[in-house]
Amino acid sequence: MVRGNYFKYVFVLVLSLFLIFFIRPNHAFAASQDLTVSPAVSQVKINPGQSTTGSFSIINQGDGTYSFNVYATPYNVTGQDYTPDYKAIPGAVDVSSWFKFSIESGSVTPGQTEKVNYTLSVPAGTQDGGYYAVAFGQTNNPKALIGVTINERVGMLFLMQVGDKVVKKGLLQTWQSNFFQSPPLTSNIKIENSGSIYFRANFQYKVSDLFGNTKYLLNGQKFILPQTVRNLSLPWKGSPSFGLFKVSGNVNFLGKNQSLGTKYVLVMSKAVRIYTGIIISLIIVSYIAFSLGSRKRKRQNHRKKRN
Amino acid sequence: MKINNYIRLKSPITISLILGLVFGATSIVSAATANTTINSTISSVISVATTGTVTLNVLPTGGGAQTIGSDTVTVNTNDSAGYTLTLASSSANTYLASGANQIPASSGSQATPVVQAANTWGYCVSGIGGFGATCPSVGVSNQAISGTNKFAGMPATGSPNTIATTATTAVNATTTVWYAVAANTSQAGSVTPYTGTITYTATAN
Repeated sequence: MVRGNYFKYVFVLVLSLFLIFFIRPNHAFAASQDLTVSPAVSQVKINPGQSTTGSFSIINQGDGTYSFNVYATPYNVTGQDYTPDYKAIPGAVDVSSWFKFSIESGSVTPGQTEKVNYTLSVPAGTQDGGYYAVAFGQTNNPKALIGVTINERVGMLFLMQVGDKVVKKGLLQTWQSNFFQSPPLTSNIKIENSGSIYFRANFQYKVSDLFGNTKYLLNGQKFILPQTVRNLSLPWKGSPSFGLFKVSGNVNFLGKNQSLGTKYVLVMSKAVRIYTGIIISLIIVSYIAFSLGSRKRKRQNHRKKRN
Repeated sequence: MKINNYIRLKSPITISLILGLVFGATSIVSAATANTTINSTISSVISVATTGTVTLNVLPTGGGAQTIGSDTVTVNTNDSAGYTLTLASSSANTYLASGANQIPASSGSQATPVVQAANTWGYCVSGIGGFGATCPSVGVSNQAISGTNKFAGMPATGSPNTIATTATTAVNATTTVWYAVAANTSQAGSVTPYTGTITYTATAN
């Protein structure tokens, strides 16, 4: 009997292991290919007709060797949420042609760092202003025999000021946080750049309870490209399903520090709203039932008195 | 006599003490006045880690069978502006190909994903765009096409879709991308499997 149970347990164990390792449906393997680029951003000031040099590193922090390519693309954004766009805009200067790299391809073993030198040459006669590009390191995986091959590319962003004749101008367009929200509590800051060159905006965003205790604090920095409005969406991902909060902060750009006035936000999740609705409905129904009952009792008492 | 002995016996100690005090004090004074400036530049970095391949084998049925798999993309950056992660096909083609045979991308978009039609492939990222909570939670093989899971077609290389973004630094920020292939018996079987290549792109904000 005991022996039978033993075999039963062994069978279940073996079956479980089989199911775990062989029938597991199409999950990709644990992350093994890691492409790192450093630095992530470079701010360059250069005059037309001049060149500058620099370097960045491609680092393999994964556990497998991979080959990579190096190349540059223009950098543009679309929409106020700044969806990146790496295509050359017809009629605009293709800044990717300004870059020359010491290597255009290579391979890195786990733990290896490959230094890539670049020369950035701005053609003479280029109009003063802001120009934007990305230098990419991209894995170059051989095409998979089955399924979807995945490549990664990681970019070093170049924010370039060409010449001195640039206009730096911008304003805080809106600071918005709706009173009634579902989690996550989200506020938005919109900053407009009406100049001819990018600028950086530093912001601090704070969520506190009614007693002033800080519940969430976010410090950040964003660049704002010229002739665009950037919407900074600031979600508090850990916000609870119910609560009344104060949101405030400040934003600093072009030498001006602007306060973001305090706003109140009531957070209610869908479930809390349903429960609240049910409770309110029950109160109303109870009140109506009680009112009708007391009216009926009054009428009965009145009849009794008359009889 | 006692005094002389005292001086004789204690002299070496006294001298040692005096020397110790003089040099010790000197070294203390030196330590107090020497300044060391420490400069350290922390380089900004941005990284992406993935698995490299997602396998989606399908055993087609008359009504259509669906296989769903996932890939986890991990992004790290110490740039205070955060990062944006986009997804697109590596070329202008958005289909999976096996020689001349193709499995086209789903007709849905990230803003308006759709229940997968037979003989299409697509992706889903929970909470992004119109996906909401319509992404699968587990991978499956050869199931009947789900009526609840919704997928978008892979955009071409020039029009990537943003699948994750942060307002500030990120440490091991993961994004799970679900991929699905659905096929019925009208889809040409393949000796050479259907394949496609997609690219995740991460840049600082």
